[in-house]
Amino acid sequence: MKKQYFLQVVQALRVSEEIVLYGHRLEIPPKETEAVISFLENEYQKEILDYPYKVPRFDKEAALWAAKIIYIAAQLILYRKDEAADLVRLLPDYISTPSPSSIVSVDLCLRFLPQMILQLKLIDVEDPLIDVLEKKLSIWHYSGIRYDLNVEELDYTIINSNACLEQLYLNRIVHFKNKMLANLPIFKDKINANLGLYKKEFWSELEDLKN
Amino acid sequence: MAEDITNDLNYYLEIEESRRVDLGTIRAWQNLKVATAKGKLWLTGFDREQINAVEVKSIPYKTLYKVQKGKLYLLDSLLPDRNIPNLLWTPIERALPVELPSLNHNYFGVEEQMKMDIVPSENESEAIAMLTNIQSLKQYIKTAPKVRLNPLKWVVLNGEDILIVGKPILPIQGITYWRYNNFLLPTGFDFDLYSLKQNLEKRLNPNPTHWIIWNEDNNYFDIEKNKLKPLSLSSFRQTTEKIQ
Repeated sequence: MKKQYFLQVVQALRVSEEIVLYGHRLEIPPKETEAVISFLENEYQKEILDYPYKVPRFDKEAALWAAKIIYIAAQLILYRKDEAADLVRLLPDYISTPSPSSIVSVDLCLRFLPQMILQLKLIDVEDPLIDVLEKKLSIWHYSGIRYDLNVEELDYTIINSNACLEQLYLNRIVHFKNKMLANLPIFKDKINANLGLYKKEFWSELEDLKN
Repeated sequence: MAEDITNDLNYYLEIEESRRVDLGTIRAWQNLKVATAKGKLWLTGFDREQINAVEVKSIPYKTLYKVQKGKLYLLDSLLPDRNIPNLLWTPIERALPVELPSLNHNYFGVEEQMKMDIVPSENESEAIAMLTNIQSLKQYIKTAPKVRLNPLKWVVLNGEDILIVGKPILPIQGITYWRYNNFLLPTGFDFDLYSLKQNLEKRLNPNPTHWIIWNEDNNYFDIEKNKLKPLSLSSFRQTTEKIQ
């Protein structure tokens, strides 16, 4: 049987949180996408056990798109034969705008993007790929909370529209101790409510939130 | 209104120093003061009731005086007997210290037992554990911020009750506990013989592998510490699914 490289990369990423590459293979056989989707859906079912409120349903297309982005971006970090102009073609934007279920589904793979960008920055700070990937993160910024995005410019309307997603977002802000996000007016009160009386114990550096 | 002159009366008691043992009955009256002079013990500070009490009357070989116009009159006498002695007074508890009987080497009462009771206590201590039930936790955990769950560990006790250990405790209903070593005692309660806690713990839990959880009614149960698992929404959901 032919090796399923795309599936193996996604599995390694999800299970042991590492990227294993098998050479320069930008083409993805359509057969494999089915396997990847069912694997990701399985992962999603495991993950939603830990999600509060009513969990958004799994968005196949979005999850697959994110897996492809990670797969291709990882290869571009290592083997670069393409011109800067080709990057946008190789890493297309997602066809529709983010919704609660696509944000959570995309996050299955896209949550590893911040670390990849940091790796890329270590290799070459002026790589045009950084810009392309950062743009993706600022659209899907739930996956980019650990990354230093320009928080003033992001769109939070969808985040606030869904209780589950909002709580996940707040959890992640607290987990990564992203002060910039925590101090935004739309999150400030909610972070305060989350931490309650125990702000000092959970997040002692967060003095700005006193009032 | 004229003052009751009896309130101002002062009384003195004089006794041979060798007979100090006889004063045992009145030693507990803390208003008394004692002084020694020339082989005699002087006591003063009695009030009218005390000087007429059985405890004083039963002291043999004593002399009682009352003070009038700076002179000492024998009680029931109309003639002054002597001047007020000029003495250095000390409180009776200090002047007549309690002595413990010497150790009895022939005493074999080692079978005696002591009962430890749990009683309300004034000492404030921080709650670090909570006994609640699945229903109460379910209400909260569905919408709980993860940061509140992270420091906690939990275990299901009998298919219904839940023990959560860790702080800060969750804002749900339940019985809270404070910690003494590996004891979890209900908040606001402590053992009446609290200094024996350590001995009791050594007896019950020589290797600290268990939590010992005390109820207000002096009963306890124990739970192995490594049975407690980190509390998370997924852990809760998977566990409750198995129970039902």
